[in-house]
Amino acid sequence: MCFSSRSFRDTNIILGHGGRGNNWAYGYHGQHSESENSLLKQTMESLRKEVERRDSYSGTVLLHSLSGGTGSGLGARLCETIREEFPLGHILSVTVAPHHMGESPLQHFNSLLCLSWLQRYADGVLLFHNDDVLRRMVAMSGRKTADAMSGHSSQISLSAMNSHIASCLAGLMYPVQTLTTGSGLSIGMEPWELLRSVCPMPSMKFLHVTQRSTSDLMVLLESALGCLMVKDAVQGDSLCINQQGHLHQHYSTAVLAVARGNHDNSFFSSVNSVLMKLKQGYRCVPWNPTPIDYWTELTSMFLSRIKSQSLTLCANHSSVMDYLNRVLERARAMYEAHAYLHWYWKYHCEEEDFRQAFETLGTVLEDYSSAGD
Amino acid sequence: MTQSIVVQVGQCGNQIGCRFWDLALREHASVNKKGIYDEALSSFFRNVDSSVKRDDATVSGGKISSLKARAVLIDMEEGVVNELLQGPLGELFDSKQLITDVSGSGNNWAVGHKLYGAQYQEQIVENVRRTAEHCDSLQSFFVIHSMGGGTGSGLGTFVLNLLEDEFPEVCRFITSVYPSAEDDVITSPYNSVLAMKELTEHADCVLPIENQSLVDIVNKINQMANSGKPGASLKQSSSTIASNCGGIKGQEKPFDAMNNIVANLLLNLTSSARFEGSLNMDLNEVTMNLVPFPRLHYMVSSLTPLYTLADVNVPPRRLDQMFSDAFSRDHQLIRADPKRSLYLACALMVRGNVHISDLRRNIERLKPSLQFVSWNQEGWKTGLCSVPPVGHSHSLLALANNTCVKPTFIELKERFLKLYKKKAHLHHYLQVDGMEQSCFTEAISSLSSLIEEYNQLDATRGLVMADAPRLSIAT
Repeated sequence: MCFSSRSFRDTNIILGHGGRGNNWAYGYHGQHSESENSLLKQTMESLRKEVERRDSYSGTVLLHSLSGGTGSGLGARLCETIREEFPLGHILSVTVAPHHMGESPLQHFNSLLCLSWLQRYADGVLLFHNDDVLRRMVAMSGRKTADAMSGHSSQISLSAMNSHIASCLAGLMYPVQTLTTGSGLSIGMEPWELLRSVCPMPSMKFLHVTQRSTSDLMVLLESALGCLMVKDAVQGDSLCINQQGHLHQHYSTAVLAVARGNHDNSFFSSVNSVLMKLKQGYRCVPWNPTPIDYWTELTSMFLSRIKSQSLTLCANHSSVMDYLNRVLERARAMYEAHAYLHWYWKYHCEEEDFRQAFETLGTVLEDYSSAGD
Repeated sequence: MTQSIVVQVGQCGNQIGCRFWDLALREHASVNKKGIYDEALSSFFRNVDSSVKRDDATVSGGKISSLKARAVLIDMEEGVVNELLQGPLGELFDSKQLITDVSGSGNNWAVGHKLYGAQYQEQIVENVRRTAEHCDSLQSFFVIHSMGGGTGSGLGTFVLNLLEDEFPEVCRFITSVYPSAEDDVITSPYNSVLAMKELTEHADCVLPIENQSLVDIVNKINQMANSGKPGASLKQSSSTIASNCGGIKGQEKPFDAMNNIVANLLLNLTSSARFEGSLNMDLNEVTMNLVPFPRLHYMVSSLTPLYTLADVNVPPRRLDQMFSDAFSRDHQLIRADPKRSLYLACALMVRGNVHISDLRRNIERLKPSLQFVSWNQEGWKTGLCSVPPVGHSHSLLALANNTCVKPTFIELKERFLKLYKKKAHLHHYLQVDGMEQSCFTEAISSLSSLIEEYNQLDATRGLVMADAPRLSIAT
């Protein structure tokens, strides 16, 4: 176990045996023998108790990956089950997509199935890509140390990558002054207000997140918006050909900017030019009158670097289409070759699950494609 | 944590098994300094309080009192097993884990499978059941045997059938030593082909090993050790993959170096299931990721590094070299060249001080020189375990589901047909009760259709799936 058990109630830590073999079906349906005391049942039980402890329940944040068996399969099942049991609650998922160049041959099927479940049952998906995170870490470490002597690129660990993702999440979800009540109370509405800001259309739920921290926000704003952060958002090529074969430039339907460490009010002094830059850099759609939302918070989110300032950007950006396209293509090729399917049938997956998943993602692509027109 | 049971059958199986248990103890001893019976140990060993006279006096947690291996030892001759019991590893096994006979199988698959199979069926089932009951969460069986003889090949595959019937949910990994062309057992082609049919139909994953490849690797290591090049001296002998500085002191027996390589293969395969790491890989993930079609479950394995040099310079270069070596023909445990054939999937199990970025970098670097089947262009499965093997700072086990196994099977088929056409030695088989001509025809037909499935996949080579068209605009 990699975290201190004192942070979590013992009954909220639910463990199984032997893993789910990188198989979405195994994760979703679970083990035959444990139907009575399944991981799903135990988890829902713990969730119910947590909800009872609260004065009011607004929603759940789900953290998982798309390529594993438990993360993608049980994750999908939980999303569906939580939605059914708490129809008025929000569901925000923090979803990690695997490296493009294979972490597992089954990742395409698992991602396909899980993404379609998220589309159906979650309200918003903060989608992180391992390739992007690794690339950012390498770039950041390159800036920090000019390690020309060693002659090889820096070694990045999984734990460093995870720290970056955690930092992005903190940037978005830690309390902000903007949402604090008049009496100075923070009621933890940040995740749900985020959904309200950046998910204007129910068909478009996939969100891109990036973050920079610095000791001087103005420098950050000048540099970041100039090239770095937008480049992150656009993932390489700025054009893509959509399903109808039309040329398409990427665009955003909505963007949320969270500036922390705003103790010198530098953000507000230049807020209009900042918003203009964001609107242009992210190519916000013209039909949304208020595409940019922003929150500020006085204190830095890093306890050890009180003076530091950070800017976290969350955008509903069409570049997710590239990723969805790739997943669809790879999954289709494998499905047509009938490769690996016997493992999915063995664990009670059905052809209908796949058919629906292909259809759901196809529709998402169409919606993203037409929204930019 | 899950447990695994090792079933070693026949002379070869038991000799390799012996090396495996010795090296496993050595590996755990080097990590587990406090002598606590921890989860890692429990995957292959149980902790028995020998002062208590009950059979199932298992002690969980706490100090190690007496370790027993989770194993079943089967041999129709007593020699190898007796030697094992009389040696220092003897205490790992209690008499109830052994099934032996005296007269051997005469290098005859039919004697092993049909005769001894029927005779010992009940005893084998009972033995395995008892061992399985001592496991909280049994995940896999490891069967170790050879294909060319009578016991390992015949009784070994009989046991495989039993395991499938009695424990259908438990993964069956089979380590099979295939005879080389210059094998001294004349009937080895018959035994091998008859056994192949069982492996194709009842195993979840087979790791074929060829003696000749092991010999070549051992020679290469010896050459390195004796070459006397400056800086090329090997770090003390415990650092080679073929060494056994474990509990058994004294003379290394002739096949020990070769058997150690296979033992290390099993240790590396199970490392992620025993020790922690940033990217764990359970044993069921190995089968799910590497087997796209049920019958095509033969994995070509390669282990690197084979040895560590005393010269400890520039770690990252050596790290990259480790990855390159895994794909070179010299490091494969069968005579095959995966680079020249088609990959269906490939698993990389890394141990030691290696980061995710090193892994990604090497995959990207090596990918262009490897051919993957069109629908699995990114068919990699990766695992990172933080505990390296004894004597190394890092190591890599590559398992490739690759069509390069085809030539091995074709050669086997040809050797079989040479004998079969003349009906040589056939009567020795047919006179065994339960053995019929149809066993032979079915076996060769199974092998032929397996070869044909690989052929069809090979035919798709060069049909690379095109990426979605992208335009890049200068920014």
